Amino acid sequence: MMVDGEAEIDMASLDPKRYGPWMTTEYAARKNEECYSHVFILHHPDEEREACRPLRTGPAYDRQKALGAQFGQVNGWERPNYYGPKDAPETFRPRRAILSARRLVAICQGRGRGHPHRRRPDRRDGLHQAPRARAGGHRVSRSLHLQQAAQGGAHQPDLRADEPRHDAHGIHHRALGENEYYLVSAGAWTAYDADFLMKSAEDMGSGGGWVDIHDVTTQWGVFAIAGPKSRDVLREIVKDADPDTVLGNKRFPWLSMREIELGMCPVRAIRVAYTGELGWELHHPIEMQAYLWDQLMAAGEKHGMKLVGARAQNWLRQEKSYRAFGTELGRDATPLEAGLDRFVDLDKEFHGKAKMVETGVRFKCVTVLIDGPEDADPWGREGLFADGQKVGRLTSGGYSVAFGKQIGMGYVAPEHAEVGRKLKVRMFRELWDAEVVEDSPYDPTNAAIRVDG
Amino acid sequence: MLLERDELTSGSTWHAAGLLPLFNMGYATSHIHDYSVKFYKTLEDETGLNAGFYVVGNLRMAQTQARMDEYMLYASTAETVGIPYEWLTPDEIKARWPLVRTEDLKGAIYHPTDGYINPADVTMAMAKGARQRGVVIERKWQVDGYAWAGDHWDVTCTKMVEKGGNLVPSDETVVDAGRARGHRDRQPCAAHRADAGDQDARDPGRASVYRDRTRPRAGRVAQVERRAPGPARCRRQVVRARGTRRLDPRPLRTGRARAVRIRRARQFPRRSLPARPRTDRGGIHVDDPPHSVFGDGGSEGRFQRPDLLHARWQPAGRARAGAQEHVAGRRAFPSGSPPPAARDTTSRR
Repeated sequence: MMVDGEAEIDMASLDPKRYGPWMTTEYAARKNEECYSHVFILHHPDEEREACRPLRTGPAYDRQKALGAQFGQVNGWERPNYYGPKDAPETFRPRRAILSARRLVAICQGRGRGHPHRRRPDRRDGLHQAPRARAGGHRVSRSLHLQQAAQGGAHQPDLRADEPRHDAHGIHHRALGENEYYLVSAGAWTAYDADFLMKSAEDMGSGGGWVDIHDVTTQWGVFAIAGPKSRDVLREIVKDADPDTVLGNKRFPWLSMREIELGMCPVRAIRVAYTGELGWELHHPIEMQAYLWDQLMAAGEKHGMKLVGARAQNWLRQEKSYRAFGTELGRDATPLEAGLDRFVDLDKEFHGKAKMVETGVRFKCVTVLIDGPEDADPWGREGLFADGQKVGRLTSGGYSVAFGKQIGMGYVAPEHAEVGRKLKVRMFRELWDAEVVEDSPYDPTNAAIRVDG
Repeated sequence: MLLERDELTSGSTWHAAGLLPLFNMGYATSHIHDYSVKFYKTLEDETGLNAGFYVVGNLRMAQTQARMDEYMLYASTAETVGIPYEWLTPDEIKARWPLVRTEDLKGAIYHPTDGYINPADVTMAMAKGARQRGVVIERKWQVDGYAWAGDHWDVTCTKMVEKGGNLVPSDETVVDAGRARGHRDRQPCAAHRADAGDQDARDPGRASVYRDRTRPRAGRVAQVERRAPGPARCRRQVVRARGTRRLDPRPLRTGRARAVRIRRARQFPRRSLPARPRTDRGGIHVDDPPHSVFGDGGSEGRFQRPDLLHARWQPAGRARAGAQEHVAGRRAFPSGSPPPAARDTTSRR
């Protein structure tokens, strides 16, 4: 119920928290006017609106723009959607850049939110309890990530700074110190997650200890470098006593975080890649972003590095079946339905567990490959059908360069979720063949991500 | 409890067209629309009030293939939510609505369950339904702020009064803690007393802050308590304000007629009406339009808390300037030109 602080249906797309404290009266007024003038225009999927832009830009904005970046606005931030001509034909798909991401190396810009999240030593389970106190049955899927963060911290007392703590989706989190964490949220949901964290900390009350939460979104920028050659590119500029091994699997294993130096820029590098390739997220002080950009571009030149944007990232992550918050993840599906079983330990008690178990599995998150129309991709609103009956819906869609066909993620009734199941997806009034594939159809063993060097 | 700043339907309802289109690109929005339509259908049974709901269907016609493609996106969302739709060819459009010229049409999407509704009627029906379930609707209370105090909400409200045809805040303010009806043992909230103390020091006319331990819920009635009285003259003003009859002799209208009146009021602002002789009004001038507080001469005894009201009408900087001009015996505002805030409230009638 709304009066209890939760809506009955997923209202994330309408949640005021999709904005942040950067919102002003003028912004609201101008965006509102834009809405009125847009009522009867033709709306395209994933359209980007022009009012109030650019507003929040990183230092590398002008450099990206000069290289052909077409920006989208996410939570006020200007983020490259793709690199290419703006007057591109309707059939334009940044597939070449994606091939680079798969075969060479590519760089794109994200903007996460870091929460160095400190705990007092006498409160080992502080972070552990924070999400539990708050995670009502309605929001288990979201809080689970924090839950994971918490459990990682609480049950491994000899936590080291470089020890991996990873939840695979949504909020990444890394231990900076014994009681200090760095949480990375989605650019679009920083206020949402901050609200959750702050309230969780508040709800802990005076149970002992304290949690200190800082929003460092505007202090840290993020570039993601990914692709088989990304290690070679970084090796050109990394400063270390032994630069040959600093990025190797032994010193920098998958899913770990290290403080490294790229040229003169101190970087919190996290070895994850939302694209499913060998790669790093390079979290850097925002004031050094332009410098780091130049360093990376120079180092990447001879390796054939290409620039990609958020659109390519969105397609690539579907090949890895990485769920995204706001599409696959939300309050409509429990963690079990979302296929996050491996992060759920039913032997433990946690808030919302009873509700989750009682709900059961009404539908399952699946990845489908689609033989769709030549000139259009699904975009995550389409219905899924079997034997003429609607059995589910897509929540994400795009094009898989690796498989040469359309790809999508969505939810279907459990009996239609097994691998190999033939379904139909309705696009443009016609039914197109779709097939349920195993999770992470591209590189299911994560060999590309774990590759040593 | 529902707090309404003015009268029900006086907000965006009066200019709402009342259309209920079910096509949408957003999954959540579609669900809300779908729920609304189903809910409106049950409203008359529950309340006996006809909300003026007519399910007439909705025809969206496309002149270009791009438009048709757009409708197909709407259709896919509608399909996942379970909203029915049909595709019509130009001939089928003609059959359904013979008056339309179909030569240049590509086709149409038809939502049979779309319709329209009378926004004012549906509001009143919902209000009645809510009252039937125990909700209390308090009108003329402006919500200034709310804060979660751990186990209940503190809602700060200001009573709105009509003055000279404008809806303006009085200086009657309460902080309501979502109490159940009948509880008389309220205690000042320790956590808020300091704040209240500050406030009271700045503004003796403001209310004390109370709390209780119940959480506001539909059906709970907030105890709206008169604030601690300020200076005597101030209290008299409030009392008078509450008793003020509508000064505008024109009948109260709702809906479209009301919109017309507001439009006319903007065209012919009240300031162009001749001022009534001051002597008619006695000592307390709660019914003065706000801009005359410092206005046209002879201001002694007219307004006891200029600091308070003035602060409401103007940004702080201008308030000070106005006060100085007032002292100097000059007009704070050129005659016939109310301060900006007063203009805003004019349109809120």
